[in-house]
Amino acid sequence: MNTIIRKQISIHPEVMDLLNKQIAMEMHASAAYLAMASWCDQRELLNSKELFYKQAEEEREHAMKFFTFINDNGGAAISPSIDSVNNDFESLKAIYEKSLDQEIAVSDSIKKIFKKARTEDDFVTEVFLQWFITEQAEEEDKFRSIIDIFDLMEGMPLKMIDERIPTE
Amino acid sequence: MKTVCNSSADIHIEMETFCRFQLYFYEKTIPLTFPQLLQLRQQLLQLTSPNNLYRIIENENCALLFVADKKELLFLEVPSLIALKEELLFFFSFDTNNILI
Repeated sequence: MNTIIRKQISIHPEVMDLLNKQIAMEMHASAAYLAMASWCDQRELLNSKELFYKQAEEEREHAMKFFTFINDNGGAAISPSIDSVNNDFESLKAIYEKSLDQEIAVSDSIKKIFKKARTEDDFVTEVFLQWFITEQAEEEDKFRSIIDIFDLMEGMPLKMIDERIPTE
Repeated sequence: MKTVCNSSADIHIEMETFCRFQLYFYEKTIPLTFPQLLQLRQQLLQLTSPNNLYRIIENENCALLFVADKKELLFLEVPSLIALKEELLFFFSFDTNNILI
């Protein structure tokens, strides 16, 4: 019986379930970044708005990578429903702090799938996830550096801080 | 025809060809492709989550489930719902230690 399933699907079914949850998480992160971009756009925070629009696209690309990976390996990718997205923020700094929290949550979730893949000897998924682990470390570093700018420029006008924020 | 799964006499899955399967659900026989089996697994995992199961027990105590791309409709009381889920999970359980060698 096991061989029959193995011939149909290259990834472990339980790992596939976690990957589907990850798609939902990435799509939710994309929607959350879009809300942040809108908040910045309305306040003419040009660099921040550009960064968050890019982040929204990037998260969607990540979700699509998971999506095609599941289907390419014989599984069933599930198009997720997006839960309520917060559009209400208190400050630009709070937005960046929230972004860092979100990236950490995504990293933790990917590591959880990585561990599960390793437990189930799902080497295909394990290798696939390695790129995401490196990518998430870079994402976390990006937001940490930006929060550092806020601390270093404390008391300066918001527009000046925004101009210091890298858009790449 | 090769039996691939037989954890219960009333509910079991058989393999017809490489990509055709049969779900025997009491007196009903439903032909399924592998993607349809994956879809059924997903539906059953969702239906039997603690919250959904609690809602079913508190209300109508049964569930209607479309299978095989909505060609068939199953009426599931809670015990048969759980039995079908167990059957699907058993069908999909595979030990890679035995396979990858």
